[in-house]
Amino acid sequence: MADIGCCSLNIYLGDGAWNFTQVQTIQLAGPSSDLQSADVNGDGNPDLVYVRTNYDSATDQYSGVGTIRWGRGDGTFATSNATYLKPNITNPLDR
Amino acid sequence: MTVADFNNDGRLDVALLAGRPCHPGCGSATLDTVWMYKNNGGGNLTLASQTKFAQHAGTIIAADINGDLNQDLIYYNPFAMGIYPQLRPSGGFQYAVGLGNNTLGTQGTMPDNGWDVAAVFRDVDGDSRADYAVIDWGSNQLGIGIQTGGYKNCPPPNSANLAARICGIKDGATVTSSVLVRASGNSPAGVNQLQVWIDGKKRYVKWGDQLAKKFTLSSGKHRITVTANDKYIGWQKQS
Repeated sequence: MADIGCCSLNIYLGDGAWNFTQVQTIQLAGPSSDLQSADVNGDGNPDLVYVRTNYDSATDQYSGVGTIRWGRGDGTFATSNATYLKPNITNPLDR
Repeated sequence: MTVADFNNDGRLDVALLAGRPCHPGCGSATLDTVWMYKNNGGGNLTLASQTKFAQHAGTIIAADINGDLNQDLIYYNPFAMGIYPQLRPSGGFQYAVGLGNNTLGTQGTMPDNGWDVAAVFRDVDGDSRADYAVIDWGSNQLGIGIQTGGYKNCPPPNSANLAARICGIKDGATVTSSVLVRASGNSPAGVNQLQVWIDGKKRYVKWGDQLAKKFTLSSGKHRITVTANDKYIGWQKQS
């Protein structure tokens, strides 16, 4: 199981009997949502895909960045080599 | 955001929405735009297209709503600020037809009740075409939309057990040109991937529960197998 919020991504491993043990916490750069699991790179390990919201206090504007955390296959996910999908958004997201 | 194979190359692509999950008219009109990222393999994704939706968007769902075996995008505005669903003055779910190359074409409106907060797309009447169910927050009703148009491919097995079905070529058939394989799969939770194996080698991967694919084979006897994969309970095959 994985849950996400502001501003961490938490990974829990299940034992099949409704018991979950937290095995990883990844600190995120901003509030995030829309968490999904899929093996995007086809290496046999499920990856995590979500949207991270960036806030620019100077302009009071928000923008979203799609993020892929690559699965290691042991229930944990890469912390240093995430892939970022950055649309060219020039207008603030409405909050 | 949603993950699906938008160009039928067997790799999962990403569609990223910059929407307006809020009341009608809020936010910048330049939003409601979806960016389609093509998966090139090896963890490399590149921007393939950018499409402006015609209406207010809060959530996107990938499904093949016209039966052409390409993933389309359906969008609606389920909640504003996570509190209230918003009536869409333009009415209903919106869709953008996927062209099978990580781009979107024709856009339009699907019938619904306006205050929709959740939706699922699946063939519920066994005719090979995706239907849908929506929850209407305003009327506390569950609406069912049965697909009566679009293309038909391969009526699936019933959903009681995980199973694959080959429709397009009969066992022992003799063909003189390329072989068109039509197949489907079903299971209690739904089949998320079909694979075509020919003479023991994997030749094609289709994300979804319907496929139609032509293969050119050398003369002689060949064995064609289709596997249906369910992410929870494994796979089954038919040859």
